[in-house]
Amino acid sequence: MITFSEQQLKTPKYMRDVYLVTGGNSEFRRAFPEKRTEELCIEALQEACDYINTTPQELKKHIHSCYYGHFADHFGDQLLGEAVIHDRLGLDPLGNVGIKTGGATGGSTLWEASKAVASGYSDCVLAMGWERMDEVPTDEGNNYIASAADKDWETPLGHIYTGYYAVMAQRYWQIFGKEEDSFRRTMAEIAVKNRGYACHNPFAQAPLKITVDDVIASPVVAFPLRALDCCLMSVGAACAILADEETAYALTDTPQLIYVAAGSHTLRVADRRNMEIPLLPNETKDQYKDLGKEFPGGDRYPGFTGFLAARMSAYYGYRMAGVVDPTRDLDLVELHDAFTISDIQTYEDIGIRPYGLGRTYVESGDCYHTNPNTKAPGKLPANLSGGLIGCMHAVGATGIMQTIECMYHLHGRHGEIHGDERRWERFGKQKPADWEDLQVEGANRALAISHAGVGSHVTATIVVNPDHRLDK
Amino acid sequence: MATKRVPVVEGLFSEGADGARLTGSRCATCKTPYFPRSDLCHNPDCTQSAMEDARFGPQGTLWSCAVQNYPPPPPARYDEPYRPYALGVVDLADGLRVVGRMAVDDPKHVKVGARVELVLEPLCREEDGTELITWMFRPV
Repeated sequence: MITFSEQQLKTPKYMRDVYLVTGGNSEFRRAFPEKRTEELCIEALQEACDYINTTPQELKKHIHSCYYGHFADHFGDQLLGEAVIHDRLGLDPLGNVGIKTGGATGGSTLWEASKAVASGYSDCVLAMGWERMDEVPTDEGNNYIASAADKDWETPLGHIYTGYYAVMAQRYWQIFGKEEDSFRRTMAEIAVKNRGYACHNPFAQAPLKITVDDVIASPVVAFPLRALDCCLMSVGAACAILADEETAYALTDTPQLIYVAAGSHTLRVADRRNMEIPLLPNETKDQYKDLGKEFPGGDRYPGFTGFLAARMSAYYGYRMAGVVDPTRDLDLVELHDAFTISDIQTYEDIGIRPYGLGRTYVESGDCYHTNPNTKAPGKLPANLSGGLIGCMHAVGATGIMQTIECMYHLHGRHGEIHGDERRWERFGKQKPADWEDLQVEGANRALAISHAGVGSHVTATIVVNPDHRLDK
Repeated sequence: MATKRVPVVEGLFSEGADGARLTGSRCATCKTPYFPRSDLCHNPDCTQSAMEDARFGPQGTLWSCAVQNYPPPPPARYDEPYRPYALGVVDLADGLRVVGRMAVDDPKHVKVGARVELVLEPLCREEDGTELITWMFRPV
């Protein structure tokens, strides 16, 4: 049993407020043979400029330092790709740095960028993330992904990521899912929901109308996970402009407060020590004392079924932003749905549901834009962009894309961005006849979770309408 | 002539008169076990990192298990043709939780909760017949 010190658990503090001024996404696809990486980055930057009626030339005058999220140099077949992009965006001689935290790279890029503004170092910064996974053949790509495990000893033995995820999924499935068909169907519902929402998003890579039975009939990857339970591999870019209050209001009338917090956990199963569950503001000490009775085998926290990194990002982030109960205080979330089962685990880690009850977030209908059971608006819609399963997972861009999607809702401009026929046309797509505006009415606060590895790094990004802030 | 057996990675396990053991370390101050060996105690509660070599195993309980249905990418090694194997997570009696392959013929027949013991088995064979050895867990 381990415990953390007070200093380690201190609520992170910005020295001044940090605002999200604007942001933009490129289109996302499995491959972009006709587009260079910088074109995708420029596309994202142009979207961000259009959003606040400015130009890259004008916006660049305000930028003082730059933060670039790009996970895998190997995949892009370009070392120091950050410097190349910085150069091609014409941002020299500003200081810039590349950030790499696996799947959480996008969120970590916002984390670094926000601290530059919060500290006073810069008044306005660029956070830009991208990934290029179409330059190498798939077998070479698999080799690179395996290289992210410990090459000294894990990879030579065949102990690879997918294997870790599989044993974790097995354990969660047995203990908390109780190997029930109903739980399997709940997992599938997430895959159906997110691909369905992607149908209304012109940026999305994999819009698809499928059923729960389609998911359950798809090939087994590692039981209980099937092909349609898994996220995409994508190419694309996303960016955000963060600033202090004065600069933010000079650039737009409606900047949003942004708070970013991060957590981590070891990949080594043997080092995932037993500990008391670090409690979120909406949880009580007694709450988990019977967890082992209700779910035999589920009492050793965090075991290998909880993501401590996700819990810590929420632990710090909720306290920074004044969030007590995420379901009550937030209006929507964008979660890292790498796999349907890890999505359910995350509901528990970030306090949307208590440990063991993650599935009820889906089964209650709370995670939908419109609750399918009651036909009323969902209490806390999740992944209206389509998420990693339906929209994209262009690793370095993912956490930024999620945050920008949240921003659209908070501005009430989700429909304007996603429904614009010219954008569908520009991407060479037909806007669906049954296109739906998924705007969350009156949204004032949103959360994006960016997640790496088997929970090695996780960030929580909270975006808040300043008139509805909870920290003051 | 006896088959030559070499560890696939040096320094992770050994075979003594008492059988197979994993080689790691333990902090003398807080007793936290580590595998593989660690040079520094990771326990935030610990007052003084004091790492000593330690050997772990052989008894344990299978905590979770999954079948690796397709060949792992290099540098992982396996004999052709590839045969799916079970990857287990085992709670050793020493308080250590370890990932390892299951030494079973049919990976589908491994049951969570089963008592297992540590064994050293070939991961694959070199062209000259040399066996590359790793640790595995066998149900008892």
